[in-house]
Amino acid sequence: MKNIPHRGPLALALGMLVVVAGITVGAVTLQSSKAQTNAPPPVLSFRDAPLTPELREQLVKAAQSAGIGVGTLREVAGVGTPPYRASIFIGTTSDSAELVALRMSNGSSTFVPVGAIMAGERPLSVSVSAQPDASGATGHVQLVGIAAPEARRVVVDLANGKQREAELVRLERGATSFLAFTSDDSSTFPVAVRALGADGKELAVRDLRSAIAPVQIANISG
Amino acid sequence: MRRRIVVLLASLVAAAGVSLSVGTGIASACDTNWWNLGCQFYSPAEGHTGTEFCCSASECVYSTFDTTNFLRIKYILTTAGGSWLNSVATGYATTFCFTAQNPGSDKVGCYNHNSGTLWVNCRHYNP
Repeated sequence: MKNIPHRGPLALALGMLVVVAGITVGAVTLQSSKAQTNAPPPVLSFRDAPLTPELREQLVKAAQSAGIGVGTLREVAGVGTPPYRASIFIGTTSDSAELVALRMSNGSSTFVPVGAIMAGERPLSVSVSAQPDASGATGHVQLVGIAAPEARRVVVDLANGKQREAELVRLERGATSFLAFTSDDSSTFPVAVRALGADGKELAVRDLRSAIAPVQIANISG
Repeated sequence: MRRRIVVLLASLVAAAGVSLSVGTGIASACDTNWWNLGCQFYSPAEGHTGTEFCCSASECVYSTFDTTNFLRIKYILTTAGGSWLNSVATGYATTFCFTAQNPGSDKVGCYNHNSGTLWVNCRHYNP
């Protein structure tokens, strides 16, 4: 009986606790889903990577000629849908060397060490591919990049004047980061890529305007 | 006066030697084999292509170029008539393999998208 007067406040306190806990769980769940939305793209096995039969065969040949076991191949930082996809393939040789191939559209580079790609370009190496639309203007752009550890952030300048933070994918081995970006909309074509240091200082800028411009066919021979 | 002439002559001889060695280096890097697409200076917006070789849908381009002023060269895929199909701006000594859209007739090659003249040694092969 004598506890009865205390039940009201106790119940009220418990109820408030439940409400606060509910709000907290909701907020954490929301944060988690937001983080998932912004999370870097997953690392895919070679089997699961979206590839045309031609590109798959080409990558297998390139891997084998570089001494890479096809079973070790992974696709990282992949964004976009074929044929307008950008990503980086990583494979491991029998002596544990990691080699990378740059994939843009329905083509790819051969497998080479990251150091060879970064030579003279540290802290940021960017390659970009472009294809025409029906009128011959640039219609699709794919970009892949490799950032050295000192480049803590990479920002993409878009044609519309806005900027977009690149998702940097870092593998368990090594501190090198990989990034990829695609656009099929001229307003969001990448026109420059910037590497920023830990203090926010700009370390390197790669201007892409001429790289994504249409090829002037009148000046080609052969 | 005589000393000045000696210094001048020595400078000329040294400069000629440097020019000769650079020229020899460029010349030796070039070849006239079937895979060569143009080992020469490329003016801005100048390109050189060749029809893909038999017998796969992929055709690879490889180049070396003077990196004194520019870090990128553009590899291109065009139709037989020269219409642009695909391009990749990439770095020194990179090999990039395109998937042909019209196997057997598409062309691949190198294109100078930079603002200045560039010495390029461009080649292609069927992987």
